[in-house]
Amino acid sequence: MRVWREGAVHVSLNEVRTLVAKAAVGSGLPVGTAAEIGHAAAWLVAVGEDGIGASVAGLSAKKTSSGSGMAFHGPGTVDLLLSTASGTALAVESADAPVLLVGLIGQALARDGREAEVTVSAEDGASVQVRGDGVSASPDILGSAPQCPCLILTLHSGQAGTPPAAADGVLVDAADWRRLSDLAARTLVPADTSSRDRGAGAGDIDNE
Amino acid sequence: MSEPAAIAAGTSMRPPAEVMRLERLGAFFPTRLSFLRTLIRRLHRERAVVRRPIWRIDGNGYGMAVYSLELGGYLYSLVAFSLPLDAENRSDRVIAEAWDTSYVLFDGQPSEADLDRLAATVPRQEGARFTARELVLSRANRSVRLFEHVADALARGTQPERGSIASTGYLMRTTAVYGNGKFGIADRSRIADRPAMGGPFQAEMLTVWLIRGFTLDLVEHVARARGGERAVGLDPVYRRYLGIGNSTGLGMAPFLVNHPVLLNNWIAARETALARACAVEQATDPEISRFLAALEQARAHVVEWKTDDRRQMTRIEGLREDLEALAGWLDAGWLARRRPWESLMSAAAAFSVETEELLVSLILEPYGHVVDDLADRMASPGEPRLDPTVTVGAMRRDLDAAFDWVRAIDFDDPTEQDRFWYVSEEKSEPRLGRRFQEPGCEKELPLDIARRVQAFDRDLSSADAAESLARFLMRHPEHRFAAARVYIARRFPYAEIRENLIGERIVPVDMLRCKLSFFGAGRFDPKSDRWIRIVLFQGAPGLDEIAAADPDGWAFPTLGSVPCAGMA
Repeated sequence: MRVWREGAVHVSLNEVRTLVAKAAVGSGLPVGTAAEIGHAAAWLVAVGEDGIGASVAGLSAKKTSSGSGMAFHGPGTVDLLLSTASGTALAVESADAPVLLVGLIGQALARDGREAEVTVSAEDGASVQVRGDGVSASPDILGSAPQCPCLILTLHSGQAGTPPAAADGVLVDAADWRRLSDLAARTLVPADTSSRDRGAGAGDIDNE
Repeated sequence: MSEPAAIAAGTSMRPPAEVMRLERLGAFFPTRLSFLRTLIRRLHRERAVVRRPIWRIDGNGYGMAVYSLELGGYLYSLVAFSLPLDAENRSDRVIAEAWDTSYVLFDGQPSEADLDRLAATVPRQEGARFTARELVLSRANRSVRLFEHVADALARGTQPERGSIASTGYLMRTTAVYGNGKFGIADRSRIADRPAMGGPFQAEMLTVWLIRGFTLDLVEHVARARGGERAVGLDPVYRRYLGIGNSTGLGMAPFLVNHPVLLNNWIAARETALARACAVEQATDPEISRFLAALEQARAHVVEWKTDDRRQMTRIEGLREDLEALAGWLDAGWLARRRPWESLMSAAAAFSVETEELLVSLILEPYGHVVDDLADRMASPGEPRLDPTVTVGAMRRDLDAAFDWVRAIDFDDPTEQDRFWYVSEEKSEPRLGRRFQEPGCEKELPLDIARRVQAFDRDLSSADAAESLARFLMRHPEHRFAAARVYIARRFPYAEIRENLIGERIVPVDMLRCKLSFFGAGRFDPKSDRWIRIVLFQGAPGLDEIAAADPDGWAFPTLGSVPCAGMA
């Protein structure tokens, strides 16, 4: 049972994907990388994991590790993993956001419709299997920052799948949602009279 | 893009280099594949019955109403709220905080508890949060002059002035129609697999069609309250003619760019439809008659089409001249030739782009049995992820094939990057700025596709062709976005608008018209280079006549042509 620190907010998966992507841009990530982070968060949420918390963790870690964290390198790491032959192991040192990495793997498998699954193992023996349609155990067992575990990723053949649709939306932690909203707000341009008057190409009042 | 194989030999689709220029996209007209046409056919096929279980509107026209109908085996309800609005607060822009009316399309039949909740949230629009039972959120403002004129006339027992009806064409205009998860409403995935909801924007179009019905009921209700026994109902011809207006700004432009596969599917369906029609060896007499009737109807429609926008009015005048010239030689005899529609499109190359694109729409009119199935291919499950296993060399070849046009743009010329697209902190309104004159370009939206692909091209050129794209992107994560665009454009040829969207010469309203034409909008009336008004469902069968009316015989309506009382 998930406990909300400051209550929960009901959101749609599309909101999760777009807000997290904007937050990632707001935190300084390249736009293509940010889009992958957004997909990862939505995938995690759809399979019942805390994609919002994972995004906050990943984007916060990115800030403290000068761009060396999973949020920055995760999409590229998944690219490399998916380029390897089945059974080949890929080591990720100091993974500062393991849950986000699992989300990045899951969304890639799902969007590709790839007939594959990935085993993510930590040094302490904990491991999870990631498929396009879900994960075998909570990725929380892989650890988190500040421990930054070393992870081994192994690609296997498997079944293609997509996550459930979450037709009723999802509940997410209100405090985390607000933190992401604050990051996303960094992408907004401050308004002034000039931009209000000219930027949209329309007047203020429509009474005709 | 497997469709060409299904087209008769010798007829191909128009190439993306021709179609995906803004000048042409900005000249598109609605076709029978437009989303509201698809919806109307579906409603008619199912003999949809619209009920009005709740009408709690006072004599001033304020209150709440509910309209319900079953479609594809599911019940949907429009919940409408009408509230007083001070004139100084009536704005069509995103920055507005209040509206004359607000709406939600509810999944099922709302309970009283639902209605209480919706009454507290729907009028606040973006300022509130919603649930997955709400499928679409919208609002509309009155056309103050016409609404009041119609209400007053009906209250006095007379019909409104014909010229006022013709010139405005709607009683209210929507200023936003939100779907797909905005503000907590349902994700599209909730309804995407349902019958009637699989196509793009079907829930949104259903909402707008029901809103149109509400505006007509509302004006008659107000007239009855004012006039009592003297009041009369609106002439059925006027009821049929009046559509629902829409004011649209820059938000539609990023949508087109951010959904390249969806854009491809829309354009590909339209171009495939044209190719299928052009492959017709011999048109039948009924097909020729249907086309010529549509052409005549369109000529009359274009004569009535007016706008204060000089650029568009010049184009309309050119269109009128072209149609006049066409009338001099295009008749049943000319169309009796082999491959008449292919010949007509060849001949149309001598006319304006606006005329060419109108002819595309008209040629499709007689061919529902040939092209309507394409409406089922216009949705998209989303953008594919780029394939990391390809090499730099393969990616370079993809770029050569799909994006060679970006190399001709000189971004060292300041005019080629004079503009930047951004989202204002003022209610997240999308805006367009001048890069060298206004602050904020460091936060610009990634609509600078050509510039990004050109930069990607430069770095690709200096990389080892045998290197994997995965390793290249580890070194150059800034190019992931451009790499994905190239990957998609190579596989979905109509995915990319082939224009420098940050150049000084960009006319954003062309992007808006392109998208609106797929909705089925008509009477494009630009208010600036980035703001446009249009009319939806003008001439379309109304709520009480959908079962009996001809679902397709109302394209390019004029006030003199709408089918009386909506009978087939």
